Amino acid sequence: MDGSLRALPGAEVETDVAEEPRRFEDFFGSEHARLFGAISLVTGDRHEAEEIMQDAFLRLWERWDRVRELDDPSSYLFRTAMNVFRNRYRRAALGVRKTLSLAPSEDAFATVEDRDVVVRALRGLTPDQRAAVVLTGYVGLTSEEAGKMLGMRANTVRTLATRARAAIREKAGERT
Amino acid sequence: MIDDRDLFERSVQRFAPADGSFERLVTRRDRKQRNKRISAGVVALLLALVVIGAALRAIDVSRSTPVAPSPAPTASNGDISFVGSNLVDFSDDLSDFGILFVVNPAGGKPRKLLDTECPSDPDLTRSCGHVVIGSVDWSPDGTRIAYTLFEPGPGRSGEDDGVYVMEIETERIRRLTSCMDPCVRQDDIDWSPDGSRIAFAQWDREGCTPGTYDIGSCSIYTMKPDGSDLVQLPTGSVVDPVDPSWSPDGSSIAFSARVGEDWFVYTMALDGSEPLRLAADLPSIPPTQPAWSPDGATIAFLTGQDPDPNNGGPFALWSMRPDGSERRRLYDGCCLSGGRALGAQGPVWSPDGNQILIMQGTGGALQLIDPVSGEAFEIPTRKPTGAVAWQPVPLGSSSDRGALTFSFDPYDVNQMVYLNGVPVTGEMHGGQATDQNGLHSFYIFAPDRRIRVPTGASVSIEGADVLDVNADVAHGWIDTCCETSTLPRHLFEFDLANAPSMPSDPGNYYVDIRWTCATCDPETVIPFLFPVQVVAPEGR
Repeated sequence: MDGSLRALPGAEVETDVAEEPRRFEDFFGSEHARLFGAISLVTGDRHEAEEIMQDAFLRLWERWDRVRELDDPSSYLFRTAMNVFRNRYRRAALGVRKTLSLAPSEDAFATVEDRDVVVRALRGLTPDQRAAVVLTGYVGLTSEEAGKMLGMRANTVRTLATRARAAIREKAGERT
Repeated sequence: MIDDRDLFERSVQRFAPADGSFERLVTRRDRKQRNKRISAGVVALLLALVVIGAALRAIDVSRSTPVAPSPAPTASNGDISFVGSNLVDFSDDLSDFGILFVVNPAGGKPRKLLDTECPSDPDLTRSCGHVVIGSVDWSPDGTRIAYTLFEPGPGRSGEDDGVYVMEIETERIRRLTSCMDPCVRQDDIDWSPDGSRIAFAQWDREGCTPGTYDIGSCSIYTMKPDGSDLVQLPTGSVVDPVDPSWSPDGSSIAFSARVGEDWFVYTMALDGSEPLRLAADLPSIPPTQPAWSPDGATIAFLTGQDPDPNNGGPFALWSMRPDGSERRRLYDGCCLSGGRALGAQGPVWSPDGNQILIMQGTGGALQLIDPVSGEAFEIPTRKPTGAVAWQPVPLGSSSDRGALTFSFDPYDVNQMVYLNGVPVTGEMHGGQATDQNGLHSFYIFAPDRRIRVPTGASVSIEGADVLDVNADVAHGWIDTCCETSTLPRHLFEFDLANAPSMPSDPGNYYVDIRWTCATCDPETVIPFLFPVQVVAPEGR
């Protein structure tokens, strides 16, 4: 026995050198702008978006050995980011119980600049509506995929996104 | 036709990430790793201190000043209620805050008492967090439960926010209040000892959160249990009171309030007297959430909830006399790791005054603390996520049936037996029993012939037919028996009161319990013989 491996009949023989494991730094470089944009639309606040993005990437980095093996680590990243977003808002509200924690933050969309039609339209929506429409309209997820990320049913995502789109179209119509 | 994606792409241009994001991420990772190492060290240090403290206390008992509860409670202990989650895995930071469970204080499988089902959006069923049960409290007769709802986060409609009361038997829910602007939350509910009024805290605008001293405010209101006669409680020179807790005689209220950014515990007689500030030397580890013991001799409170809800701890449970004297640090809890939503909840006194219930924080444990020794007992049940309360069962009522519950680990020779969550170490009407292999011995206590059975068990009385009392009782963790090598305590509950073969005459009998683990491979039958004493209930 010479110790070499032989391909089974019918199996493809891989002749290339094994692929380099995907580097986290590269993944960050390719994904962070898109993620940042999406979260910014959902939160309306660059600082908040930066915090959420950092949290999400940090969580992935800590599990990078496993995450890089996933077929679609980008989807996992967005899901993590959405979890962070939802939990931050929930915590901000819950944490104030017993008066010793941070208050629910002001909805940042109330203060963001309003020159942009999407931003103006999103301002009038709830965070869930914003998340639903951004994930489906911008990130390009299906309602089912977005529902999984947001912990909602696909029907709920569709409903939320439809309302949000209607608001955006209304704003766009106003502009024209 | 408007192309959504184009619109979004144009908008996203306005939100370009700042330079240096990756460098900040590296810094953050390094800091987190360092904090983890420090936390581990602190936990180890605190554990060492706790052990040393316990040893010193044991050596010098005479120096401690136990706060002995009154031996004459007005109620016995019913079930414990807690806000919990449909989800059992908190690793993904998911949790629910709109479901109320009840569980026997000895532990076991909880049952749902109330599920708000996210009333504004019934489609949300998974970790929806749409509405939160902020606080709960039982009526003194144990027949109703009051609770507060609020909707967290920005964009809240607040349409469901308010105080509610549910009648347990009929499940009829009555809404008592609404929370309209400037109100943002009603919370910290507390039922008066005579059942005639309900107190709660109301937050206006930003409430009393750090940094909002000039913006928000808090108040305590009281009202009748039907929602009428709503009045604000005057607290004299003290502003922003929260966490009301009635004294057992109903003449005073304990609460916490802020002065600037410091917090203190107060008591105040309801005759218009000026509040008395207590725990005045603890503002840097803010004392909050006072709870008056059923005998009126002690006030328990918590300190040290971390302002950052990500940290979830550490916290400490204290007790003191209502005048602030004889303050003792009873228990230290530390620490839940990140991703939790709430810090420690409670303290809640057991209706008989012999234990203090605390919840360590979302995903932590329900703990029973001995108010004298500070010893802790973790209730083996589903992890809670939020507020806790304890159902009182008035003595002499028809529902005060002196239930026997006991738990044991069949693989632990040195096990303890718990009666309603209290280790049975004193007077017992049972005796020592040994299983057929002679490996396990324990005591049981049957004050009123009432024992409940777990699914899968059969019971026989010696000299009588085997009783088929294999009712589908939702207690016991039999189903977990073979899935893990580390078994939880198994809760056995039997109800023989209505069993056809149950002897009615007082006397000593044996109960033959055969616990069959059908999922074990091979199937396992664990027989035990329990001596029980049938005692005629009082008044019969």
